[in-house]
Amino acid sequence: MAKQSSKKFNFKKAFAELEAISMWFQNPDIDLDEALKKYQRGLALIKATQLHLKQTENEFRAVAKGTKE
Amino acid sequence: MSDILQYMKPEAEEVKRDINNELTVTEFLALVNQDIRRHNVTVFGEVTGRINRRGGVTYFTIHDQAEDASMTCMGFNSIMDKLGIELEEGMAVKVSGYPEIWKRTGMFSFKAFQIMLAGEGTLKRQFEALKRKLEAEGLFSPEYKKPLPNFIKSIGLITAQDREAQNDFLKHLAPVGISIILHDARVEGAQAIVQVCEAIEYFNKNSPETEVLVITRGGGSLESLSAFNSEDIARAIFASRIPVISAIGHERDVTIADFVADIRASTPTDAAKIISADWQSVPVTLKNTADSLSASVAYLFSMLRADLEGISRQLNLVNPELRLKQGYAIVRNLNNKIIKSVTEIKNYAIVEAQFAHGKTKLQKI
Repeated sequence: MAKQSSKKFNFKKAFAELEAISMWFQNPDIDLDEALKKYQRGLALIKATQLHLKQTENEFRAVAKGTKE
Repeated sequence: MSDILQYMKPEAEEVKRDINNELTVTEFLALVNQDIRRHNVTVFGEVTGRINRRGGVTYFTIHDQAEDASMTCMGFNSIMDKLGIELEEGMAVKVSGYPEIWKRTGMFSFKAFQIMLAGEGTLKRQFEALKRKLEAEGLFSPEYKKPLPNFIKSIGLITAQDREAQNDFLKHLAPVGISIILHDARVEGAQAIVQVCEAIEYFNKNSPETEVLVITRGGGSLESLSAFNSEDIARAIFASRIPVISAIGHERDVTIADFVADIRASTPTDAAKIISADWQSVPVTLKNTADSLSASVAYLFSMLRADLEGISRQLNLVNPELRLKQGYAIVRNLNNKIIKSVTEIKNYAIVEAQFAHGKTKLQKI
């Protein structure tokens, strides 16, 4: 079973935000203060994503017979 | 499915089973039909004699050569058409349905709701005919193939529960918090077509979070895989809102379901690997992103440092102290005003000269 904290973690959202941050850094003209904020956010997302992947297992269940009809 | 429901409609009301109760022919036949309709079975035999297509119904006889036994079967043409090829004398068939006595003639017949062909040669002909038909309709066209979403978190698995295909699939799936919901279904025999279609429909109707359907089973002969060469399963896959991965049999086994599916996996293991592929690349992507972010920030700081050094150099060039070190001096009058011309100093007046290291008073003579 996945742990409670990793269940709440939205991997796709975090990964998309990380991609957006990476793209932002490709701009030629960027503000240093904003860059530092985004850098910190990016590192936090990477850490959370790595932790999520380490803590998570797949969940398997079968459709209950009565609900198939 | 609708064909089956059409057959299963109750026809007669309950009749009193009592020797003293005199029944009309209609009532008696209704009573018999109530009993014999419970034999919902699949009967194997060889088609013999004439095949009569009358109106919307086809009548044919199947024969058990070993025991010299025969029975008449009837099927709606919609069911016969699903065979893909014409029923012919000598074909081995498996007919699923139930027996019934037709009240107008008192004739016994077996009402088919599903007919499956048997025999390698016949199955190959059926396969080719259905493939041509569905291809012509566009069911295999790349334009209808739905792409798989990235980072799949929810899978609808359609296979026989606790069999090898299920275990192989689960074993090779990346352990990244994926939710797998199994809908148990027969994957061989007469029930397979109905149950696989039901499972596809179930996920499409009841499971909006399911991102992909995986229909899988282990390898087998052409006959054991024949459900996956049926028109019903092909059309159910095509109609699925959820993308479908087919993983039927071994690498060498190709079924009609594989042609219609959005993605064909060669084995259950291969299906798991296809779904896991982008998850497997995540650790490397995360490391590369961290490196790239650090490099971007380091570059920003190096640019800032270079800018500051440039400004500093420019300021140094205009620094008066630098000039003093080169041997220049600043001359002020006693009111501390800088004197820029000798004409500003009267004869014998005293001024102050500032050098790089110290000051001294001077008098004009």
